[in-house]
Amino acid sequence: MRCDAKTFAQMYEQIYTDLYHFALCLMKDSHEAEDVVSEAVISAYENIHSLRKKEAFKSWIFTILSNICKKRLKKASRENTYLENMNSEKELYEKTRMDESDYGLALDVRNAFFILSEEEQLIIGLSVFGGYNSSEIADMLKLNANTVRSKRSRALSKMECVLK
Amino acid sequence: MLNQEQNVIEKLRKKSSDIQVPENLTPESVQHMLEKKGKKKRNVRVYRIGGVIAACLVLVCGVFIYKNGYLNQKTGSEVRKVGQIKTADDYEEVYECYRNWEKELEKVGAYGTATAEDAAMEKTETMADTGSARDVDGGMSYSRTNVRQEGVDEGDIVKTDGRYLYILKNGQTEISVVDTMGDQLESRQTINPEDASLIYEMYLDVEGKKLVAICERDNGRAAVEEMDMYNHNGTIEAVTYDISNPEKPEELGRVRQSGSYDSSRMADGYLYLFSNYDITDNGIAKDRPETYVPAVNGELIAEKDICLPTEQLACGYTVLTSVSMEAPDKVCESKAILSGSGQIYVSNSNIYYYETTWNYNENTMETTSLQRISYQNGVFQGGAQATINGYIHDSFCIDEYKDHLRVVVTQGDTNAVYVLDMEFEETGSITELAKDERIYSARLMGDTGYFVTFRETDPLFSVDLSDPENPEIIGELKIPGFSDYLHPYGEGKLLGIGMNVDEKGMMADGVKLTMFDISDPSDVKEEDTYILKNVFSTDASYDYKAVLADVGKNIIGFSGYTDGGQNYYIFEYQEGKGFVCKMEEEINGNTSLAARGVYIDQVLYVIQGNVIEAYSLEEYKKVRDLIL
Repeated sequence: MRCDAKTFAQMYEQIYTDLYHFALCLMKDSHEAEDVVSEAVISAYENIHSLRKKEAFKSWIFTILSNICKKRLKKASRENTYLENMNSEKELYEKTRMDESDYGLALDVRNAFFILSEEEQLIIGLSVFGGYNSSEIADMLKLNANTVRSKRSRALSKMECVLK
Repeated sequence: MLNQEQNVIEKLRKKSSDIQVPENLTPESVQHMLEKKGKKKRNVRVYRIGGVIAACLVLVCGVFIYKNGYLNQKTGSEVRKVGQIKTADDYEEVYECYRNWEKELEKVGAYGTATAEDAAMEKTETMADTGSARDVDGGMSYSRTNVRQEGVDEGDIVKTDGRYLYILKNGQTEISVVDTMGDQLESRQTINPEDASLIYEMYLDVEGKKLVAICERDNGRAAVEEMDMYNHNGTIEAVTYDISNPEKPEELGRVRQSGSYDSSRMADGYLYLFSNYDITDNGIAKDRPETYVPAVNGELIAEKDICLPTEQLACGYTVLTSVSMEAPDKVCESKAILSGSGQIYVSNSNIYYYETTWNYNENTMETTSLQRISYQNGVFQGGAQATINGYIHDSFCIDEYKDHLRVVVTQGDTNAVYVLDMEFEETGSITELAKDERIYSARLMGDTGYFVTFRETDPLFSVDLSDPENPEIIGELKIPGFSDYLHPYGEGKLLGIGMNVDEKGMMADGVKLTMFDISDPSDVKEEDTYILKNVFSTDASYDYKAVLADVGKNIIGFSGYTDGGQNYYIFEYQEGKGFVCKMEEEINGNTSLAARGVYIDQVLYVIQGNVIEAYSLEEYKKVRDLIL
């Protein structure tokens, strides 16, 4: 489709808070979240001609954003192996508290996301902020729908313990 | 989903619902950013870093030197020559390309892989001096548009012939002709092309005394030709005026072509016009080529002039047309490059079309297809084509010199330099450069090239390109901050404009000027730096035409954004003393058009939209102003 900045902004307006909240849950701070959303917006705008229908905009940009987050997380995990060493929840908790001001998310929500694997984070993020069901998420992440369902269920029960 | 699970999801949603989204991500900011970007599709990434997220950067810049390091250790798989450009035998072949593209799209769903351009910048080649001064009659000098390639002119929103200023006004429908003779500053005339809904840019052919306005044609008002009925892409028009008497311009002729404006160039008295035409599913039929083939001056582009893509997939064209300034009512030649949406780099004798296929799938690398079309006196000739792994950051990363093309690419987590001959046979390469970083800016200056990569530490690399078979990294310099625009500044000097970062390398805290001493490319030094604290971005980072840099006149000018608004800065570079800020003045125009600084003799004109402010280049005081 053809689309100018204004049309793009109109479509974006419907979903930008969800996009940001999604990114915030996955990235390590609000700056990173802002950064990935910007990157997704630019990619989406540059590739808008490959989008066939306006209706697909939301899932399309969420897919782009998920992929960007994935890439970043992968890179971050390579670089920050120290994070992997912080096994105990206490350490994790303290690390979290340290930069809470930078984060914007409620501490328990943040902790709830922290205990998830990357893939689980993506699945939960898309469920919560994208409002997608398991088969939609399966499409976006190129997974089997059953796998998504069982992963989601496992992740949610883990999160339940952490959420206040 | 279980109720219990649904509850957790609800809880998460609720707990996050009142988190504020940062200012930079509001729809208004995003629209603004995209509009800015839309003006010039290039260098988006840099703009994003420099402008939108200026507050959260992690950057330091440097330059490396590996002597005799990293030689051709490759198997040749990164550059795949695909022979010569093929043209279509019939329109059906073109139609099939579009249908193939559709099929491919269905395979990956409504989203998934996407063909994108990104990399769309242009660059400026640099022989020792890209200074833009030019003497006229009485030894009066004036500035010209900062261009990518010396000898190939580019359109802009402000031009001057040394006496008159030609200014695209707010609303982009009129060009003002402003006389600066003596001490005056007076609007003498407006050029208002008929049937134009928008003027994008203009050219000034000073010798031929002509002005060309590149416009979007208002098809609603104009008599719509049969061919245009199926054209959802709009039509652009180049309208040429005789300005022997600038106060009485006369239209000499016009040409038009389907599509939206992409870019243009002027070289040796010929205008080259590029537009983008998308094929849309809406009402297209194989046996009615007018529904999917662009037209030039109302006639469909012939089959033999349609260049087929390297893969038989396409969703649009880049249409290119040449027009002689001697006969501006006729089209010399046209070609249409069938493709997605790529970018162009124009050297002194070739047009390079490059298009990146992005893969959002993490395991495959993006690839860039490259096609060469030679041009001379308005005549095009299809040349070689190839595919390269990785993407080209901007047009400064692709450069022709002595019958070789040098390409600097980012490939996933690493970077590479390739040297190709005119048939796109690889003659040499350096691969696996700067792991985990990506190219930020580049300037390939004859036998030596410089490029800046970026991550937490950013090196400025020097590359010896004198032997096409044996390119070598010869230098590396590490410095805080980074340059996203590089400009040769006289003998042995390279000017960098970019951003500074604080000591922790966490935050971009101001615009930074750097003068590199490149007299010994294997030992590049940072000779002087100047940091404009609290200037959080500059147009120079993403639009080289916004830069006024003239070594002959010793003037460096650009605009910068501060909390208080936009300012125009003028610097001098003094041997031994370094950068000297000569002027910092608020820019008062209020418009979506970018600001420009233009000088004529000893007067600097800072122009934004309808506001012109003139400053003396002796006292750096405002001497006049004019609101159009």
